[in-house]
Amino acid sequence: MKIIDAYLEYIGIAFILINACLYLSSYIINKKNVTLFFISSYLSISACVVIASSILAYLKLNNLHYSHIYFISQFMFLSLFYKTLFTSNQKKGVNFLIFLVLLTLIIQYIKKPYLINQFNLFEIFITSVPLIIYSITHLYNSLNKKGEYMFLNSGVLLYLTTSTLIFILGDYLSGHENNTAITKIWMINKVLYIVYLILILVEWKKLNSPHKSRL
Amino acid sequence: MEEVELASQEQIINALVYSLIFLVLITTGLILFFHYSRRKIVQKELEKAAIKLENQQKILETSIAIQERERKRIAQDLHDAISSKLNIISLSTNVLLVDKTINNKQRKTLEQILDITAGTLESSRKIAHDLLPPILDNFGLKAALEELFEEFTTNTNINIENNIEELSKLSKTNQLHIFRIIQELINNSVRHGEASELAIYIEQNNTNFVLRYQDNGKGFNINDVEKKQGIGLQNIKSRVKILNGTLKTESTKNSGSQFIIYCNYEK
Repeated sequence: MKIIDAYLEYIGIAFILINACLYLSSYIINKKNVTLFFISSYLSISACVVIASSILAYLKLNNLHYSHIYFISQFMFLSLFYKTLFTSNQKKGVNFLIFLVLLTLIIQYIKKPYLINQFNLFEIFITSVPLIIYSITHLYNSLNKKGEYMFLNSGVLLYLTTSTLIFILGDYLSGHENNTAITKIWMINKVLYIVYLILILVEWKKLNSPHKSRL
Repeated sequence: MEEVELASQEQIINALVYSLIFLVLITTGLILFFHYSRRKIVQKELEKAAIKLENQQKILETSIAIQERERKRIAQDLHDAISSKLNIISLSTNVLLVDKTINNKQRKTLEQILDITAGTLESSRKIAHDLLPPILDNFGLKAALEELFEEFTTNTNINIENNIEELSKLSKTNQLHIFRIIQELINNSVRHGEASELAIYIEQNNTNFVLRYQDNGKGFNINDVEKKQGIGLQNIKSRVKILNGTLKTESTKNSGSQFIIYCNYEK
């Protein structure tokens, strides 16, 4: 069980590295594309965080403070990514949500600075729910026009809804690490993460294929 | 005590696993729902667009048919109602002129009437001819086109090189469409393109025919013309559509333009 878990982790790291490199190279080739800039930034920062926290976990050190960078950067870059795809009214909504979430987090950390070294449930919740809302909004927007980034969007919706639940219970789960059933749940999370990264990879392939007509 | 705690832990984890599976199913269902709704909506929009295009085409075809019918009717009326009456006037005037008893002043007036009548007859013949070339009905497309070319070469400085094969398999109505297309193309080349050389070829074999038209005029940007087509080009396109043919246009600024129309007989 432990071996499969480790392999899943390596596969996840390999995929996020590949994705980060591919999207970065696409952005370097096509510098005017702001959307690609946000995706590649998100993937690069996620790759750094995932690798760094794996190393810390290997050294048996506390890596929980990296989770804050992961969730906040994910929220920021994916919000900005969706903002480029939205209509002007929806853009205002995104701006408002970014402002609201960041303000709430700043107030929370000022009041309770010790949360830095913990799994912050509230942070996970308020940084993930807006992204799920954006994702559904984007699905709705694409109903009567050519869908852009549909694979990536499906990945975001699928992975974020499930992983949010896992991470919210992460606090409880990390307290009982010896239970094999809990290892299973972390494995489900890793499998879903790999599915998400594969969807992002398929999206890149679609973006770079000469036949861009998609239904 | 510890066993109870372990059992409750197991329960929580089981609930979590099921809720995860439930969430995956719900989100997948949501994505699939949007995907298929979208396919359906796009399909409907495409159908709508196709119907709209078809209707527009039908309207154009009908208006062209009506136009031709009206032209024919006016040409016929000009011939029957005006030209014949004018002929009678000119004959009667001639009869009066033969009379020796009339004085010089009357003779002059009668001659003037004769002149005007002859002029009006000529104009009405010309108008009728422009509306519907009788030569097309009587002698076919080749003769009509040759007459058209001659008209243009004598009235303007244009030089027309041509090789026309008789399209005997084509119905009279469709021959008229070809005639009108070429007429419109020459008009465009002279008026907008300021061309001095034209080359027009019609070739046919058992199954199809090709019309090639080329001028050395100013040319145009195809994309600009696609966006705001004048009535002329629109008419050409509609007529090609009526003929069930395809129109290929090639043109660049300052290097002339080329039109190729390809039609199958079977269709």
